[in-house]
Amino acid sequence: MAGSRTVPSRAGRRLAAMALACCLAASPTLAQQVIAYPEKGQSPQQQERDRYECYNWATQQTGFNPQTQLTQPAPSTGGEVVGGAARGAAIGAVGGAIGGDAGKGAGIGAAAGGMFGAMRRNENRRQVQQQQQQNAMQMDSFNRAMGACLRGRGYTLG
Amino acid sequence: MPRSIMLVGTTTLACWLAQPVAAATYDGSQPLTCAPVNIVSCSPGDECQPETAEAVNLPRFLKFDFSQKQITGMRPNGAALTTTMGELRRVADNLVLQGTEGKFMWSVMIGATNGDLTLTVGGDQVGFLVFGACTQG
Repeated sequence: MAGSRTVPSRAGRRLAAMALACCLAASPTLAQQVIAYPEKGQSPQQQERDRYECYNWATQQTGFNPQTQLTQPAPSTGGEVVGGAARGAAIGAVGGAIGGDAGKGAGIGAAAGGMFGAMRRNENRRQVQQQQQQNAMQMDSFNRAMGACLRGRGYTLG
Repeated sequence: MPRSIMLVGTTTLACWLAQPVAAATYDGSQPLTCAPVNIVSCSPGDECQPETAEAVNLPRFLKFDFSQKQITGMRPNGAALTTTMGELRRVADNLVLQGTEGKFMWSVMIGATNGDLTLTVGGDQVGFLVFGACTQG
């Protein structure tokens, strides 16, 4: 009949609610790091919706998305052996020149590399540590933003 | 007869076992092989960090040949490394070696009684501290 509305069946409403819950529950696990108690008796579906929306809001506010950090591969912590050998050659050339044999210096540097003159700090490891520290600071800002959002929606933070 | 043979054999064995074992010497009269165990690298304004021998491009074993006045080692990729020993002296009976290489300076102390290795390497705004152990040979 023209103009009549179709009312969803009970099964259809259940399916829709389950789909919504699945989508909301797929919000990153990191959002669960903020422990929030529903002061106003919010339903589990409402809690999931609030977490999802607060997660997005915190991401916008801080410019940091924890989900992105979880999926990025960690940089290698291997040593710079190749770079050290190249620098060792350069240093060997200098040492050879000082010793009065510049022609052999580069060869000595590349072949022998010098025992100690070719030593180098592991820069990759320092970069990894610095990146981890930066991630920790950003995560802290994100959690505070998410906490502020949840408090505004009637949750008590643990 | 069997009893006397057993007695002689036991006595011989006891005498052989009682021979004193020659103590290792770390006075520069014998070559030494040393292994870095703990390594730390430092730079100004930055925290010192632990390292591995491979990460700082140092051989895992260093051979000290005092007769040739050379320290040799081999990188994991097979490249042979050689450093000429500089000055050699003794401080409280411990062996002390010093030298320079390119823009780096280095110093080694080897414990007189236990062969403990202490190695320091200093360059332009970078330093390395290495603790290890040495054995004869």
